[in-house]
Order: sequence, then C-alpha cells, then structure tokens
Amino acid sequence: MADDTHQSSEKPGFDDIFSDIAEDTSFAWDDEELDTSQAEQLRQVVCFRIGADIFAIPADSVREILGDLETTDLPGAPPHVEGIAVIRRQVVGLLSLRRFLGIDQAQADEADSGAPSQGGASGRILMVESAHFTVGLKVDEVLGLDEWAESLLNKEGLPSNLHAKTQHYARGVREQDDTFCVYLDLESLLDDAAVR
Amino acid sequence: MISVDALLFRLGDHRLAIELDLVSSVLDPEEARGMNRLDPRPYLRPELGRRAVPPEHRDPARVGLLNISGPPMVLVLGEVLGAETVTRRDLLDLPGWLVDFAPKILKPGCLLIDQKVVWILDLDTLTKKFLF
Repeated sequence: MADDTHQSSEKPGFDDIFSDIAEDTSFAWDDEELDTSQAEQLRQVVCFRIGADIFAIPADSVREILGDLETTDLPGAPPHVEGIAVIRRQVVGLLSLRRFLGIDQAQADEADSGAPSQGGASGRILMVESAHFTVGLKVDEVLGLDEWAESLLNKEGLPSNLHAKTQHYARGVREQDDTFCVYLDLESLLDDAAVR
Repeated sequence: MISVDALLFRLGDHRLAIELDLVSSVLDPEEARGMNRLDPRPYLRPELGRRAVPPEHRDPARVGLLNISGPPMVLVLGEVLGAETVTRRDLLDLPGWLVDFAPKILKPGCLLIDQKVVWILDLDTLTKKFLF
C-alpha cells in the first residue's frame, strides 16, 4: 500500500525542492514588491550597431525589425535618404543614419567586410515611429533589448570624442565592452533628417 | 473602378509612368530633331555630388511625341517598358515628408507594378518648367 507520507522518508521529494527554492534568497519573488519609489526608473532601449559605433533608441518607438528590403531610389533626395520601400502596401522612407550622422564610411566598410561577428553587410531595418514620422532606419546589426537607468540619460556625461553630429543628438551614454553605446534623441533626429 | 492606360519607361535609374493618351507615338531621337524636348532627367538627379548620370543614359534611347496643343514637342523617355492599365489599387500614397523631398515634376504618389515602384510624371509641371 502506498504510503501517503512517503515524503517524510529519507529520500527527497519535489516538496523538498520547492522548499529549497523558497528558502533560497536568489528566488525571493517578493523582491518585486520592493518600494518602487526608491528603485531607479528604467527605460527599455533597442541597441544597434552602425560600423563600429553602437547606439540605443527607445524600444517603444520601434515597430518592427526587418531584414534587407528592396529599396527604390527617391529622385532628388539627399544622400541620407536611402530611398523608399513598400511594406504591406505602405510606402516607407528609409534613412541612412551612417550618412546622416557622418559616421566614417571607410570604418563602416571595414566592419561590413569583416568577420561574421560584425553582423555581415546585409544589415537590418528598424521601423521606427515618432510623433510625426514612420521611418525605416538602416543599421548594420541589431544587438537587442536593454534597460537603461534614467540617470544614464544625462548629456553632461557624454564623452568628448563623439562625432559632432552624434554629440548633437546624444542624450546619454553607457559604457559597454570597452566601447560606448550612445542613446539618441530619436524625435529630434527624425525631425531634422526627414525635413527638407 | 476608374482605370488609366499608362506608358511605362525607364529613365536612368528610375521607372516612370505617363498617361498613354498623352503620347501619340514613340520615336527615335533622330526623328525628333528640331522639335522641342522635355527632359525630366535634370529634375530626377540625386542631390549634387551623390552620383553622376551614367554614360549609357546620357543619350535617350527613345522619345515620345506628345499629344498636346502647341508646337511639336517630345518627351525624353529613355527605355520604353510597355503599357499597363492601372487602377487605384496600383497607386500608393507617399508620406508627406517624402513628397517634400521628391521633385515637383512627380505626382505625390507612386505605382506598384510587378512589385516595382514606378514614379508618375506630372507633365503639366514639367512643361511649365520648360516654358517658364
């Protein structure tokens, strides 16, 4: 006959595992109920790479991430307007941040022709929405989502060696693997890049 | 549903369309010697310094005799791609900020034909630019 109290035998059972987890402070689920007024506000960002430079923009402005799209030149457009693409019968303008921010083309070419870890030459398109525009941003590689403390969004802490134009649109910076990830003011950048 | 017969042509890097009724015949440039020429190419170039017009596009392969009042006038067509009947289903709106960048000789929209973007030439504006 099965013993209802077989958990009390010397062999551990599932209940022991659950008890173990509950006692482990690293699984203290109640941590989420800490006083949030004292916790620092976090901002979700999407990080991406262009050449050797890494940038972040607000995650809530990114509608989708697409692979390479067939692009059609827009006649008469400035160099930073890469052209248009048709996505689900909607015409979307594509911007080259590389050209708009003046990121060194030679450096970018070197990155594109380099190791697979650099993301390859095909790149990605970040479909972003601001108050006035829906635009595709051509980037070399999407690095993923991250969370930044609001305290990092501080223009005072920007390194002085950023490109002049990047400096203009930077709203914060985070050191990451011996390099800087620059948080861009997307609204301001699009307002300037998408207006003739 | 309203439909329009369009003449499709490729001028440089761009696919363009014009109402077929506006072109009475397609000619070799030699046949149109002495006639006024409407050439959209200067308005379609990228901003100065981006890219030069490739040599193969400097001499238009074909021109179209325009069916408009006034002295005989031809439109530089380049390579004629054919004719197509288009409806509003083929027409896509351009976002406002792209319209601002696009040259005024193009209508503020484009066609999507065989998954290719085709710009719509505004012949009135091009003619006015030629005349004034």
